[in-house]
Amino acid sequence: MKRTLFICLTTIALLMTSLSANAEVKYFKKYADDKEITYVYISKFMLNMARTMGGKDFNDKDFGAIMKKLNSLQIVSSETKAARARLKKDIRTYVAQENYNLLMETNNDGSKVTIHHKEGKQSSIIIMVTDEDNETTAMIFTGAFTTKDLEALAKNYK
Amino acid sequence: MEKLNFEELNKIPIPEGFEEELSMKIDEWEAERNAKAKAANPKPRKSRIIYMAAGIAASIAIIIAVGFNYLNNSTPQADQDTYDDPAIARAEAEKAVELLARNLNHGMTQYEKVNKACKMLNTIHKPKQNTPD
Repeated sequence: MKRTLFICLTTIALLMTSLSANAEVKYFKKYADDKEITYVYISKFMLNMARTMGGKDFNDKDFGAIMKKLNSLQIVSSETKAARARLKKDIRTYVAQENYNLLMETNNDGSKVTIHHKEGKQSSIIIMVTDEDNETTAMIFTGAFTTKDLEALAKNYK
Repeated sequence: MEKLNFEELNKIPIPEGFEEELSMKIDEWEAERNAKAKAANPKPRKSRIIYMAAGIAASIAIIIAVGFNYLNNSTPQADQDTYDDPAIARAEAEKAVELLARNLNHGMTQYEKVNKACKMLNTIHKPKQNTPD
């Protein structure tokens, strides 16, 4: 009986873990069918394909360290006023709900850039939102990178 | 062995109240048998109910999880890569990472500038220590 109970509880725990692991990517997938919003999804599989199909290996000195650790990239952008407002509101709600840390908020060449970060046990997520005069873009980087990797990325940029 | 003669047996007198006494004894035996049967099959224990409830809960959780995953996976184009060409996908990803690096670098430079200015201000306004003559 104890064994049965243990199996039941383990099954529940595993199912809950698998559901929460997919949660982040799923949130932004809702824009895939949105006519006013452009949605781009690049998987790790596709990035690895580029390497195996004769492409150059990632250069560690530049962005290689992050590129190697990148599991998926989602790019969500919009140019219409209503969709931009909706996108910004959705992201604000999402980062607040999921307890993301505000890493940076800058004004760069007339565009407002906000970077949020959340470090998990297995993978981290970075959400970078660029709000320009006529376009709002959100980039969601998922991968096994740490804050040190981000620091190195910033320092190596020339 | 002598054969039983029913006629002879009928002649034997039955003591008064024997039938009632026999009936009562039968009732007593039946009650005793019922009590033994009850003791052999007691009511289900509390722990058994808990196990059953856990089993039902697990089954419901499995059904919900399977249904949830099925519904999510059936969203059109959700799991598909946008680009079919890996080279284009890689170029796009590199462009995105470069933009991230540029913004992080810009933010860090601003932070370092502010930090440097603060340090300078601290040195200017630092009170002079009284040195003994």
